[in-house]
Amino acid sequence: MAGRRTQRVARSLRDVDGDKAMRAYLIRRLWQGGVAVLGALLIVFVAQRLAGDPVALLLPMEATAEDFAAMRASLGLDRPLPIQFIVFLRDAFTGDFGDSYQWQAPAMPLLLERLPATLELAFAGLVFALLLAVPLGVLSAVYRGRWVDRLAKVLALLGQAMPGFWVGLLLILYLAVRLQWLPAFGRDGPLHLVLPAIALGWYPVAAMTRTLRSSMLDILDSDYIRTGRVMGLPERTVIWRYALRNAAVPLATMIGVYFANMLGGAFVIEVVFAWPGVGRTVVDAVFARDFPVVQAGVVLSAVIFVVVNLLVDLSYGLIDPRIRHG
Amino acid sequence: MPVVSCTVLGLVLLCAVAGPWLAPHEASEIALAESMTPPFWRSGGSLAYPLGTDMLGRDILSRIIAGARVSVTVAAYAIALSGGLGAALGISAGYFGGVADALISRLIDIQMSIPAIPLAMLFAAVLPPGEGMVITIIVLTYWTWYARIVRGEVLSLREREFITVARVAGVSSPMILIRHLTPNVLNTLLVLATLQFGSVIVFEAGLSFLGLGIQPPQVSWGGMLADGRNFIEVAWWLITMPGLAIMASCLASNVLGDWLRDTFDPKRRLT
Repeated sequence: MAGRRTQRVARSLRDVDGDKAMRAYLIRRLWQGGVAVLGALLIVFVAQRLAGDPVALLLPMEATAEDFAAMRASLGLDRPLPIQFIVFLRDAFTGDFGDSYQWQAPAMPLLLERLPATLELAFAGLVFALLLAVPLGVLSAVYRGRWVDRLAKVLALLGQAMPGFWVGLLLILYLAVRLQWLPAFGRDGPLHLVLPAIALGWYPVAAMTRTLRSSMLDILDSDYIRTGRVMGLPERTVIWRYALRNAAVPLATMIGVYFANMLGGAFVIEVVFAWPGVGRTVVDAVFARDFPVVQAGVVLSAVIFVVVNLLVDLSYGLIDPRIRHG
Repeated sequence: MPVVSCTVLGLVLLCAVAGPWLAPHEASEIALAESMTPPFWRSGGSLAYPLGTDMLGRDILSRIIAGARVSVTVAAYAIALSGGLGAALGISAGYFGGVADALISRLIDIQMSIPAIPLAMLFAAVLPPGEGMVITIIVLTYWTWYARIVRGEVLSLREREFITVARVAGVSSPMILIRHLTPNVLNTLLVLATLQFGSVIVFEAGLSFLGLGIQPPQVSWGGMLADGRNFIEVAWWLITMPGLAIMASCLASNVLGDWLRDTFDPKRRLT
């Protein structure tokens, strides 16, 4: 009786310690994320100032020096740079990056409207990558050195050397134009998602496979797997249920990073497939010198990147208690 | 494998250096009568245009050779500058620690929290387009690569005996950095630079494909893909050939980089 109670107290003490460590870790990560977003805003602000005088773009050719001065004052450009930066930050926190020159509408809402399309594409790309990487990673570890392993290696090499936009063009050429199996352009139902998702998900497959393969190799060597085998569990259960569950932890922690990277990669893939998302809009904005939209796009991707990574770190602690207590 | 890689990379370098003498045609030579000639092994193709021609009758092979020059030039500057900057910051952060390390590490964090392509868009909107802009964007994106890895290496090197001995013997900090630390990270730098070559080629091709990188009349592989995209239904070779050039260069650089890394660090070979 007394023994059990001691155990319980000990356990709760351990949990308190763990919670404390977790909280400190969280606060540190939140702080780092905040600094990163602030840094992104600073870069955007500096770039905007480098871009030249916005007044010259806004005023007609025949404007006088007085017009310039008046315009500058009304935009707050006559104030010292640090003040301008603070004003910029204040506006940025309310999502105000000014109006798009081409669309005559606030830049950030314009992008947020297109964000679901981009998220959908990135998510589909991630699903494709995992569908390919998980079986490949597991099989190449189980059949180490055999043909599956070698195939995975070749695929990995090719995957990293073929840029996604080129894969996209080849997919359009062979699957859409030649065989006419799948639609190539636009966003109109799930079939339209297939080719862009493959083009986008193509690149991370190599790294994902490699990560899973090496953690799988470690796990397959461990005692509990040997125990499972000795106990006569079917090999399939040992591999897919017991080994994969632990071997997937390193991969799971990388998923968020890949997802965030895919949001960046989507910029190019969206152009290839005429996908109406954030990326294509920002690329168009670059051509049109539509600066508010470009700025909003960069800040939006930085914020998403930081938030996704933060969520990944949180889930890491949940998946693997060793991190929480470490 | 490394032999094949070196051959491919050698070929790319040769095209970059001696391109104008190797190419069968002038890269921008227009021959409308020959427009959309397929590669020589297809009916209608001819050996005068081994890889076919584009909509203006320009020779694809000659344009790929001309594109190699742009890719290699951009890669050379980008690698030297990002490697130099990244290594200098990484070594300083790792060796001096304290405030310098905190500052540089934060800078790396910030840089890495902005995805590369959107950041490239920002600079593309600000800077005048062309080779200079592409190099700037690549340097600003890739220096963290070098800085992070070199910092890590220096952190562990710093604790090693030979550095402690040098410090006790009264060797000055700049001397330790240059004579004792830098030579020990050279292998790492070489591996990173080799791997970066392929990565830079893909990055530059992507920017040029979007129309934000190398501008016509300069020839680039990415630009060729963008041109070919409009004729995807009639001329498969326009999007296939430049892509193969990108893939071959990148593949060669990745294979060689991996091989160098395994050679310098035999422990990795076992896994």
